[in-house]
Parts: sequence; C-alpha cells; structure tokens
Amino acid sequence: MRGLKIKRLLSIVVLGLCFFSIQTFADNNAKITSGILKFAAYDNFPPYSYQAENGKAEGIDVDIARALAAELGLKANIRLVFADESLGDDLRVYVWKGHHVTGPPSDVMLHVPYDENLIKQEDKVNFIAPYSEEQVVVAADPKQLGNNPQITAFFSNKIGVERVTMADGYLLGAFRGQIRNSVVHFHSIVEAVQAMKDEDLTAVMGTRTEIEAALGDAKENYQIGLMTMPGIAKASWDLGLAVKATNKDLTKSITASMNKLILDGTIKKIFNKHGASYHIPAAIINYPQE
Amino acid sequence: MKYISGACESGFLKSITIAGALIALPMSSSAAGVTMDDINNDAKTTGDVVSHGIGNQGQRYSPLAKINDKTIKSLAPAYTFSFGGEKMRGQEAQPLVHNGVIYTTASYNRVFAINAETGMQIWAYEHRLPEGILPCCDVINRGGALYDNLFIFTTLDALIVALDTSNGKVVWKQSLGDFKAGHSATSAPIIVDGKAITGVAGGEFGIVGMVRAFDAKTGKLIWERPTIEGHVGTLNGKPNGMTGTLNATWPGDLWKVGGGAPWNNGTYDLETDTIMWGVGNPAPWNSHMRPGDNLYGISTIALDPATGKIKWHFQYTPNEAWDYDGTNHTIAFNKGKQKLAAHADRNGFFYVLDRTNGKLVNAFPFVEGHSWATSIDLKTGRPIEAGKRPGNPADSADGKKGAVVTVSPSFLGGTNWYGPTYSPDTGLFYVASNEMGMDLWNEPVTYKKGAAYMGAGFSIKPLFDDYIGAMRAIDPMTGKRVWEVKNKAPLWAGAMSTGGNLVFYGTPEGYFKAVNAKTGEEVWQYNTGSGIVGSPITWEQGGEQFIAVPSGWGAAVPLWGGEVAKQIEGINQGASLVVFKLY
Repeated sequence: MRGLKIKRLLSIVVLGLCFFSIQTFADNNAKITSGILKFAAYDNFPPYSYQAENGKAEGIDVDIARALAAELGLKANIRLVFADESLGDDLRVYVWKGHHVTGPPSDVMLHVPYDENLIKQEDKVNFIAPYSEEQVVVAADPKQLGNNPQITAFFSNKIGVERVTMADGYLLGAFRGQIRNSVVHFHSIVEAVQAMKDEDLTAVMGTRTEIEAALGDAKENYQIGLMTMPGIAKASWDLGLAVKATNKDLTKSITASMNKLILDGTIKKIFNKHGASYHIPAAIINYPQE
Repeated sequence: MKYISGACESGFLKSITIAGALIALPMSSSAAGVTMDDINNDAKTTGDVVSHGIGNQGQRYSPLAKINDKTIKSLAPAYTFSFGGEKMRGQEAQPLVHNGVIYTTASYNRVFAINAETGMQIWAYEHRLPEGILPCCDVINRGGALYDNLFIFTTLDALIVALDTSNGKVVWKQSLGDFKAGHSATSAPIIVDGKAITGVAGGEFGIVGMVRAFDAKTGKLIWERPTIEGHVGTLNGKPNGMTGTLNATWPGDLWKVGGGAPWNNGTYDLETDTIMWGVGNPAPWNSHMRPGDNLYGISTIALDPATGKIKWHFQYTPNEAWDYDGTNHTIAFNKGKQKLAAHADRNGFFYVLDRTNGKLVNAFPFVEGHSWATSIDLKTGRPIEAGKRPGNPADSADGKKGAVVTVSPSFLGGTNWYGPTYSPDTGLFYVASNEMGMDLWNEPVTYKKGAAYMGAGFSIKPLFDDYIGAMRAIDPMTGKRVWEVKNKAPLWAGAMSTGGNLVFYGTPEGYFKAVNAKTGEEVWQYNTGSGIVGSPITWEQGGEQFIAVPSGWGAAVPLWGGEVAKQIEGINQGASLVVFKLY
C-alpha cells in the first residue's frame, strides 16, 4: 500500500519537475520581476505562523514559504495577517481583491484548506499545492483518564477546546448536549494545553499540529490520537495554498515545487522541527491514476 | 502588515496633528469649556449641540423653529467642508458644535474642528491605525463627546482618546481591549456626571462585552460592567458584584467567551439617573450550542452611573439565533406622568418600557414580515416564536447543509445602529426602518483560520420590489404608523426632529430630506453628492439656524451582496460635512 502511494506521488512530482525545468517561474510572470514572492500567513498562530520576540515571522508555514520561494529562485516576503470570521473573507482580502485598510492582496496565502466544496464555491482563487493533512485529535492525560479513554469519558471529565472550532461545536452538540457542561473554552490551543498540563483539564480536543507543538517535551506523557467521534462533520482536511485564479503560471510553478519539497522530505522536516508530526495530504495519497 | 524583510513600520498608537490653527477661534480666545449643565440641558439649549443624540436621552429633537415647514423652501447650503484625501469611506458621525466650532469625527478615526460660520478648518487630528488592523464593517466612527476643554472619542483599535478642543492634541487615552484579540470601538462616548462612558465592539471574536466609565478629565478608569452573566464588575479597581447569576441562563463555561458587545452608544436619563445601554449578540453564533436565555445578550441594561451596577434589564431576543445584534438606543420619553423609554430593535419590534423598572408597557412590529416571532407577550415580555429558528448543527451529522430557514427581518435588522428621533410636539417616534428578509442555514463544514468548524450560511433579500427603506412615524402608545416615506435603498442614517414640524434624515442615494413631522409630506431635499449614513444636528448662531449633516457612503450595507446590492449600485464615495441655513 505504502509503496503504491509513494509511487503515485512520485509520478506527480516527476511531471511537475519536468514542467518546472522548462519554465522558470520568475521570468514567466510579470508580477514577480521584483524577485520577491509575497505570502500571507495568519498572525498569532503557533506553531504555524507567528511573530517571534525578535519581530520576525516564524513557524511551520513561514518555513514552508521560505523553502518554496527558494525552490522558485525567489525571496519570500511574509506578512502576518488577521484571521477574519470566515475563510471567504480572508481570501477576498489577502488573495484576490485586497482591502482599503490592509492594501493590495499577497501573491500566495498559506494554510488554506484544500476542500472540494471550497474549490466549487470560491471561483476567484485557485486552491493549490496541498502540503499536509490536519486532523482533529484528542490529547488525554492517562494519569487522570487511564489508557484509551472513549469520547463518553467527557460526560464527566473536563475537556478543553479553542472557541469556535470543530472540536468546540462538536462537543457542545454531541450526545444531545451531554458533554456540553464539561467543555472548557479557551482563546487558543496553547492556553488549553497549559491548563491540561496544570491538571485543570483531563484532555484537550483540537488540531493535532497545534496540540503536539504546545505539548512540546511533555508530549510523551499524554495520549494523542483520533478518537471515535460519532457524528463529527469533519475530522481531517488538507492544508494547501491559495493564489488568485487568474495567476495560472504561479499555480503551475508552485505546485511542482511543493511536490518536490514533500517528496524530498523538506516539509516533514519543517513540521518536526516545530515539534509536530507530519501527515501527507489525503489529496496526494488519493491522487487519481491517470 | 509585518514583512519579514523590509522595514516594519511600528505606527501603533502614534498620532499626528495636522496643520495647526489656520484661523483663530471665532468667538473668543478663552472659550469656556463644556459643563455638566451644558450637557444635561443640551436638548433644550439651542446655541450648541454638545452630546450624541442632541441630549443624552437621545431624542434627537431640537426646539429650533426658524427653519420650519413654511420657510424650508429657502434652505440652502452655507458651505461644504471636505474630509479630504483618499479617505472617502462611510461617514457615520453625528457632529457636535460649541462656541462657534463644529467638532466631528470622520472615517479612519480622523477628527476635525471647523469654524461653524465659515466652514474653515481650525485643526485636524489623524489617528494612526496600527498595522494589521482589519475593521469588520468599514473604517467608520459615529462621533464624539464634549466635556470641559476635551473632545472624547473611540477608535477602531479600541482606544478612548481625549483631545484638547483648542488644538487637537491628545490629552489622555485609555485602552478598551486588545485590537489583535478582536476588540474595536466605533461609538460616541456619553458624558454623565463627569464620567466618559463607552462600550466596545468585537463580540464576533468572543470578547466579553464591557461598559466602562472613565474620569472624563483624566482618563482614570472608575467602573466597568461586564455585559454577560458570571463576570464581575469593578469600581475604583475593586470587585463590585457579579453581572447576573452564574450559570442561570448560560450552560457550562460558555459565558466566559459569551460576546455581548455593547458596540453602540448608550443613553442617559437625568430624571431617573439611569444609563440605558444596548447589549449585542451572545456567542457562539448558533443558539443550539448555548441553550438558555443567555443574559444579557440582546438586552437593554440599565446602569447606575455612580457605580455601574445593573438596576434592571429587558431582553428583546432570548437565546438569540438570527444575528439580531440589538444594541439599538433606548430613548427616554414621558407620557403624562409615565416615565417611559422606547426601543426599536433590529428584531423588528418596537418596545415601550417603564424606565423606572424595565417592565414592558407596549410592543408591536414596526416592519413588514417580522416572521421570527408573531408577537411579544405583554405580560412576560417574551416573544412568541414562530418556529423559524435555524436547525441544530448536531442534527446534520452527514456534513450536508442544514435546512434553509427564510425569516424576516434580515440580520441587518428592521433598523440598525442609527438613532431614531422623538418629537415631544407630535408625541411620535420617527424610525428609519428596512424591509429585508434572509435565508439562513447551518453549514456543518465551513473554515476559519485554516480549520473546519460548524458555521452558517445566509443570503439577504429585499421583501418588496420597489423599496427597502421606509422612514416611519410611529405612535409608541398605540403602535399606529401615522405615515411612512419609502426609499429604494436601505436607510442607514440617524434622524432629527425639530420644533419647526420637520423630520430630517439622509438616504444612501445622497438626499438630505425634510419631511412634515405630522403628515409625512416631503417638503425639501438636497443631494449631497454621496450616500448619507451620518446623523444631522441643528443649532443657532448669530440669530440664524444652521443644520449640518455628514455625507459619505460606506459602512455595512455595501459589504453584503445579493439582491440588496442592486439597490445601491452607482452610489459614489464621498467625505464631507454639508451645512445649511436659510437664504
């Protein structure tokens, strides 16, 4: 199985590489004559993208942007942006239209879900280059819950979430609201994980990458995994990039370079460097054979 | 925008004052400051307007009658003041005028002092917004407050700022919360007993609403009152009692991130010494996730100005589910010996309360449609819901879109943030209302900050082909609509009534209109060149009556597409203050 997947991946990448070798991106797109590729990444969003104490942008997405730009022979210019109420707003402001306060859009937006329905809905952008799979997991404290707890453990044990996330919405509604009063709300996964370390919570539910990075060295003391969650609307999705729909050359070049970075292990290394495990995007594993 | 390579501009909190005095103050060089008497009597004194609402009770009525239903034919512009530059966005301010100087905010948190007679600029203040800020609903501001020698206003990056009225320099400023966490502010503070009192915006980001009182002269925080039950207020830095009762109307710990932003300005009634403030939506959006009434979301809370304690409350939409973010003004008025207050809510119902205790006296719909509830039970004060609540997202486990609910009013409301006006001459309220409905559904998988969550979808649509807006004269005691003037585009501006039997209001089409207060007959209009979303004032100076209205299209309406967009096509941007007098 695994071999087959990698073979498929390889074939895409090789196709991409061929494309890349005959067309260098920089001289093909008038917009990038400056030699700079402008990225937008979410602010205040560890371990993906955030402003470090030295004032510079850091994180998984930031490193991916830099690696991608280097692969394209360009320099990455990354701005950290405010996450609005919905992805559609962010795509409008940071990818295809711009805003009278924040200025013109960037060339590429990082950390954009790669989802069939989104691709249908948002015709002003291209969703490209899926680079990882995000998963909704539960990190549980075995000291408090024992081994392999079930979701029903949270009828009576406190579980932390970031507000207005899939984990939050799911737990408030699941089992006719029987978990609702055990849900403890935080403004970020970082805060929720800290509360679990302090044993104010027995578990945290949220995105795997954020939870793993927030646990850091304490990771081995907790059980992190996919739990059977009856009725959850979405427990995993791919993350990729968005570019303006009219920017076709950029789409092709970036896709090829990203595939190369996935295959040569660069993306995995970046995730691991920031304390998170890496999961190949389902869109690549399930890539249809042509 | 923080670029990792290249200069990262750190403009946060910096501000600049543009071009000092161009001309001297017209009246006197040692102009007296605004006193509490000036503010408390603002509705009666005709030589100035020193408070939002033309008096803290927010009636937006002036007894001035030189401009009246007979003389209005010769009303014409005296001058137009341009807010200038490239910053032509929604102008939602209500100007103030004192000692011959107009003070007004403009888009992008600018403030202008203008010679009220000539229209010449005296000073301008430009608040430098921090990098990375992204206002939800345009770069608007609704005006300021005058007290002593200070002009006090709030900013999009959630500050309350006091400027010296003589030169526009900052005297003090205080934070209302972290703008990076979603806090913002757009409303005008009110001045009560030497305190500058303001709310804060940002409920959609889970901030908990807070009304704060600062010493107006120094900016020192005096009290703060959280709007959501379970949170504890403060007075002089010490705990001052919990808002409501913990977990009485909220499940679990959701009250901790419960929203309830008091983003519009409050009103103050001197007779009962009561502040009345509208509280916005509870969070999260979907009501099924927070079973209970969710106090004090979508309520008026009545506060003691000395301590910030809640005297009474009235909730308009319990367990809110339609984004009826009801922060609308609650306006004191008297009927015989009855001390009442009126509130036209975004949910499409007009409420009359006993303002001594918050008991419901009367309630009736003021818009067509109003299909979310059939009526309000006058005994309990609760709505009789009509089964139009969007479904429970937990029921759409297959990940498909939930059932579509068609309901009216739309989330833009039967009315919105702008103040209605009450004329003691006619005993009528004049409410700018809008006839829009919406389709609303659960969207089990939407994305926010790169992650899936359970959201909602919506689309708004006009109820009628020929109009959306309607200026309505409403008898608060009978619920009778005495007259209405329809308008093609949605109305989005404050109204003013006067002793001259007139009601003034602006339209998105750019018209500033005067209507006979008794009959609704349109007696005068002037096209200001851009859509009007601001509120007019009137005052007397040198024996002449002046009227001023900001013009400049923008704010929330242009953000929403769909069918409504057709009614506002072709409206141009602008940014000016237009001042009229009789010729």
